[in-house]
Amino acid sequence: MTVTPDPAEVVAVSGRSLWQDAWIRLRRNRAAVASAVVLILLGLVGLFGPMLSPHDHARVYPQFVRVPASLEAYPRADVVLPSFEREMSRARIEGEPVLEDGSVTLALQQDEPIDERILRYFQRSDLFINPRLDLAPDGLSGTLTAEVGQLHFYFGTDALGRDLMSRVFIGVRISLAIGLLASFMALVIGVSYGAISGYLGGRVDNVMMRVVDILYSLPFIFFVILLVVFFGRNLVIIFIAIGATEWLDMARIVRGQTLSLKRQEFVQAAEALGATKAGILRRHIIPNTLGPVVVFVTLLVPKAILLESLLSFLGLGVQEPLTSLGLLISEGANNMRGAPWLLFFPALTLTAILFALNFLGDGLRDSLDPKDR
Amino acid sequence: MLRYTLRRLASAVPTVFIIVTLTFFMIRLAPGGPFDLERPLDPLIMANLNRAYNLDGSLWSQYLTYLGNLLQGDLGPSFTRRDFSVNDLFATGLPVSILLGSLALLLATVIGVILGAIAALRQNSSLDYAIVGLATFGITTPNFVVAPLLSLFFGVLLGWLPAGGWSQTDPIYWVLPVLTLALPQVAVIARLVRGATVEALRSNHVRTARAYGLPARTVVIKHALRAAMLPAVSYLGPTAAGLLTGSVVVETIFGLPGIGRYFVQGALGRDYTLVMGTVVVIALFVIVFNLIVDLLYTFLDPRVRYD
Repeated sequence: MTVTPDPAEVVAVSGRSLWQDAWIRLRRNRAAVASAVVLILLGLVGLFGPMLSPHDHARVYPQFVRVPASLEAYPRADVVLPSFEREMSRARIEGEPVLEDGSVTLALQQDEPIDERILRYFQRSDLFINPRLDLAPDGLSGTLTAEVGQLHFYFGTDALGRDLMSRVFIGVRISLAIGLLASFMALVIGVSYGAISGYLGGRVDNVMMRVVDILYSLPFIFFVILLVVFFGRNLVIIFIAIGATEWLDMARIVRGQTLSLKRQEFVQAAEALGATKAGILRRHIIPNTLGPVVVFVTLLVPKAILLESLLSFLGLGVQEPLTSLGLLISEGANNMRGAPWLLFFPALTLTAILFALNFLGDGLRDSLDPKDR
Repeated sequence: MLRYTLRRLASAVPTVFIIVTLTFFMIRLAPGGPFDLERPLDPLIMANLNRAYNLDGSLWSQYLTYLGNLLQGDLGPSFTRRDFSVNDLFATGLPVSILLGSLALLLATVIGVILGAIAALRQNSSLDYAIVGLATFGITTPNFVVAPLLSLFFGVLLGWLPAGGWSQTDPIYWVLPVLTLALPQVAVIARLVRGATVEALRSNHVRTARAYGLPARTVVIKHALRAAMLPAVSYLGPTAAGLLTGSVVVETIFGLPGIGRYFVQGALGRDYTLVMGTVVVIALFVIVFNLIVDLLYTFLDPRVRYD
């Protein structure tokens, strides 16, 4: 018995593309969705965090060196008066300062006129804001008042007294930027190289793949280091060096895909219609290789981030006062005995980024893999 | 088999030659030289130094001299560590790196295979999820995070192990470096073995073995695991080469006298011969271990043949 399908029903079922299919399956994978959310949040932190943070990443607070991470404001109540007295001795004035309602008041009484320049000492300190000097008409007595600053160092400060939270934000920005740019570079080189090699085939393919094989057997991490050592340590060189060394796997994957694609009917049809080779590559081959490529990129980004972190750890990465997560971790490792938070926060952030990227990559692979339905 | 091995070794010669050539000219292109100081040396002294270290001829003649010496196994004098030849440096450093690397390799393989097999046999149990979670953690945590944490925890807080340093005879100094080196590899191997075992347990030859009524232990160990070792083995080739030639991070953090540091130090100090020597040694390790991997394939998978 044959069933003739109702034409209306056939129309109602519209086909789903590979990408729609993958998207539906990806949404069901809770770990991948959570990772995507974490990554978006971290991306926002990298983009806007440094602007919203109360401190500049390069600002040094000499009076707050290596203060531990805390939700409470600095300075602590018990250090305010000693600090005030220290500034008083620098300014060569005497008296009994009183701390009240977040501001310090000092009654001054001297034999000679009070020099207004003593205010400078209090303006320069990070602990006090808006110091004011109210002088009596004779200039021999007056009151000095200064509000106590409310500085928050949620992640603590580093060995130079810089706010760690702002530095972690900058680190996230730099690490993500390098990861994305380097992967993009590897993507462009790898996809075009692999697609050209696979599509042209024959002797061209042989030569191009031999080159890849030779580059493979070079100790490649060392070439990144060589490039960075020789051409200077700026951001552009770092991501070019990483991108230029990470495209080999990409080229192999794309070539393999291209080899199977170029025998398919739609490519033959395009050839029969007289499309140019470049046109076929651009319109038909490359878009169809993107599935595995997308998966590979999500695994490439953490590799690039790790490579940059390694370079920074070795002192070959970005330069102070700019920073990256790898640089922060290496500083943290040097200070971990006295100031463990310097290692903890950057390491946690880096691990979170890598964790999320890995889970997202796994989820994408599962949802894009046609074998796994 | 022997013919295959010999052919592979012969084909490695041009690869090494290309690597040596590329590295040689890359380093020489870089600005700066090994004897550049803040205050420039007297030109006469500079000329003498260049002559003593064979840096005064044309680049081409230097290259030919280097190749000639290399063929005789002479890697040349080190420029930054005066009085030492690169061969001396490797003779003292390589045993340390090989010792630590092979211990880490052994540990990583044994633990990784066991964890991966357990996870695969108890697929989707909480034990499986715990192992996969641990493996993801091991893969995503870089060794320059792990090393200081281990050193802080076991060395400083608990005081059980030395936080750093080296002793050729006292194995207690080896524990933390070996752990640091092994941890990420344990994670990768466990993941590879788990995936491959899950697949192998569903495959025809394992079903056949079960149908014959073989004991479960034999089915798993002799049939499933043996097939599941293939991806792990091909991963282990380059990894073994990397482990045995030392890690700059681990050596820096624990203060070990291995050879992992030499490349970075050499490149920074423009120590041409030291950089070249490191590259040659590492390339040789990579080639040899890739060959070993390909030969191991024939033992693990009877379908693979080289004739």
